[in-house]
Amino acid sequence: MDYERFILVFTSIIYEALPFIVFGVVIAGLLEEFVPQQFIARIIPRSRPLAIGMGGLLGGVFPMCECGIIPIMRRLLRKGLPLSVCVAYMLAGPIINIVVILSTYVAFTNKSIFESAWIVVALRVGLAFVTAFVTALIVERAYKKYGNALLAPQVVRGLTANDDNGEPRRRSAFDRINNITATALGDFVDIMAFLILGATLAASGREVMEQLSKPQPTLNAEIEEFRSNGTRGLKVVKTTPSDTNGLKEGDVLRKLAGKSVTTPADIDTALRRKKPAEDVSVLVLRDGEEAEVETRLNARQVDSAFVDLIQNNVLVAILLMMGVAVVFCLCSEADAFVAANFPVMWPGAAKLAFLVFGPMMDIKLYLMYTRIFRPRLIWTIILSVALQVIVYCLITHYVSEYLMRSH
Amino acid sequence: MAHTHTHEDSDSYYPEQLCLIAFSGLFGGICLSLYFWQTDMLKLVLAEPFHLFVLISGIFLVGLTVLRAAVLWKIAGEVNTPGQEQQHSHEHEGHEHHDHGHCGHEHHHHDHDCGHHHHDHGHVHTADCGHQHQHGRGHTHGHQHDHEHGWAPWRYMILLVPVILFLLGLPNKLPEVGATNLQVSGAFEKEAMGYGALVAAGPAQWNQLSAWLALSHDPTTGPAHKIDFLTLEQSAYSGRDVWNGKVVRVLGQYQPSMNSLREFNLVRLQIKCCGADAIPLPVPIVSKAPITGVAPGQWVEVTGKVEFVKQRGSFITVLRVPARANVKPSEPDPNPYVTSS
Repeated sequence: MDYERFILVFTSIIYEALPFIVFGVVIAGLLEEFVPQQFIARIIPRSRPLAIGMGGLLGGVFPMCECGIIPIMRRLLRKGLPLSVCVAYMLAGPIINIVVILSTYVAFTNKSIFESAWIVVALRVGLAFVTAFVTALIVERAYKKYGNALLAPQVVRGLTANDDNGEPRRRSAFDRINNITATALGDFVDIMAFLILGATLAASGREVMEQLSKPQPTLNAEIEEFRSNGTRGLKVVKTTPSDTNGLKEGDVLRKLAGKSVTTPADIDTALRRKKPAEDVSVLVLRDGEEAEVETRLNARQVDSAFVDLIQNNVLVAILLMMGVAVVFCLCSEADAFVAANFPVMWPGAAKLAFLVFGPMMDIKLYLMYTRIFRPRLIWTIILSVALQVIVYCLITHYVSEYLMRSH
Repeated sequence: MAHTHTHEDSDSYYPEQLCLIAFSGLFGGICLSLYFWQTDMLKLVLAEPFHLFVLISGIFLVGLTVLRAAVLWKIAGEVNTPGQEQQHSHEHEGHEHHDHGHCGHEHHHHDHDCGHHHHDHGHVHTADCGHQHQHGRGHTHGHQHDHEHGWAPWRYMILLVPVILFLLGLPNKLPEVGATNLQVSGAFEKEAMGYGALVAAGPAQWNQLSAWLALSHDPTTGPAHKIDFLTLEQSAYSGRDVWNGKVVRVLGQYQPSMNSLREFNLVRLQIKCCGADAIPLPVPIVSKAPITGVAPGQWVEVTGKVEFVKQRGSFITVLRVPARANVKPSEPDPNPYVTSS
């Protein structure tokens, strides 16, 4: 458990999101005060699918990090924007905007998957739009069936409150400031609490993942157990001498880092607290005499079984990457960078899944969703998004394999 | 069907609002403090382009806090004048139900007739006329509503955590630069290992070694250009003609190789938005002389000759270093990360 890294990840998630939350709540406060209730309902297109499509592209006009979208959406709901359109904006907005498109392009420019960075961008944007659109249609159907039971109680109260006949109200400046500040600060504190919870979970999950994927130290030599004259021991059967490796073939290991070793398990115990590239002292029996040498530890190669697993089972790779996206809680402007730098063994389709699923669902987003939606709706959205991302990325994988083979 | 107003709620109104003000003010203050005084911490946590956002949100938060406090002060003042009706210029046709989804205080009941007698507890609640409230009969409210307290202190415990961390001055250190495999191509690796193996083989081989060394170029003829790390790393993509063969001086963190003292990675952490997305960016360095006495993660200034090596189909930048003296311990870069714009 690296406390420094934990605190760094924790605080950076918070201060990265905080400005967008502030902007979001200010805009939400202004929306609350100046836009008459149900105003928006009158200006959106009659055709719901068309409205949903526009909602999905709204991020192009109002770019905003995922965190800022939540307070804004709460107000938009109260101002008459249909739930399905809100959901489309919420899901696609963090991806379909200039900032994220550009950063995706830059991140994949020299580390491309799928031939070119523009293809990565096109896939990310396209899949995000389709996923958001279909999910919004599903939400629309659910809303027709369940109505406001899909929404959290405090949101429903706002919706069903009597409206002002759609006319801007004449209120004193005092009242306006009162309303705006109360709304904005209340939202701020509300969302911040959940952001902090989410950041804690994300930083913890990150630590777990780092521990699991930490390279294990190993001796820069092939060691074999032997038995002779009733004694057991460990012998170096293959090694490359160098200025960091004092071991020689034929050496019998006596002590490693001060601990006696006779079995492979002893080696693991002795090296438990060590790290790759660390120098350790080894007491060996060489040509009948004891000698003390130094050797630098290597890193155990990533389990080739694991590599095979993710290369031959794209579905597993995709699911794992989606899990990573949920835990990492990265801002959609930065996640392209991180995805582009994942090891090459991960299939491109898995990295694509990370890029599409991450902005739509992660721990902190889930917690914030609970402020607006009831669990039934949250899980409807999660399932719809997850299944679509899996299916579309699998299709992308097989299509790209086919195209590559026929070249 | 009108709901009765419960006066316990009024007891929690002011503590609620004070909490809102306190914490918004605290976070606003932290933002401003990070920008103006604790810049080292801010640099650790966020990439440069985002520092301005922190400043702006700090200003907004402090501004909103001050406004809210002023409004609250005025309201409190009006309350203390006994028997006086509230002078809020409400429109009576319709009030917007104020979403009190804050502080865990989820619900207000209100008894209102449109004759509008506003309660004298200073409640600036822009409430609906009760009879137009569309609460169904038997409406139960959210479980968070707590008649005793009317607000949820646990939320503020959570909010205290970043405040406490800030007061403790955390975070204050870059994370460790972990061990990664060196990126040099096979040819370079063998070369680096070759020096080492010859040395390890013993004195009889020294003649061969010195002959070998004599045949290699001496990389440090000419003045060294000071270059920033990112430019060096990216020269493999876009500046090969410019930088090939040049002698440069660059600052970075030392990351030992697992296989030889005559090679190592010079590493900088690269971020796009925030510390959570930091990625170590390595430039492999190959040296004629063994590099000893440098701790992993230590900041060093390296002087060497630029070369480009192909690896997995694309070029990477590598530095050749002739002597131990070319790797000098150095002060850390005041900017802990590198960012591509």
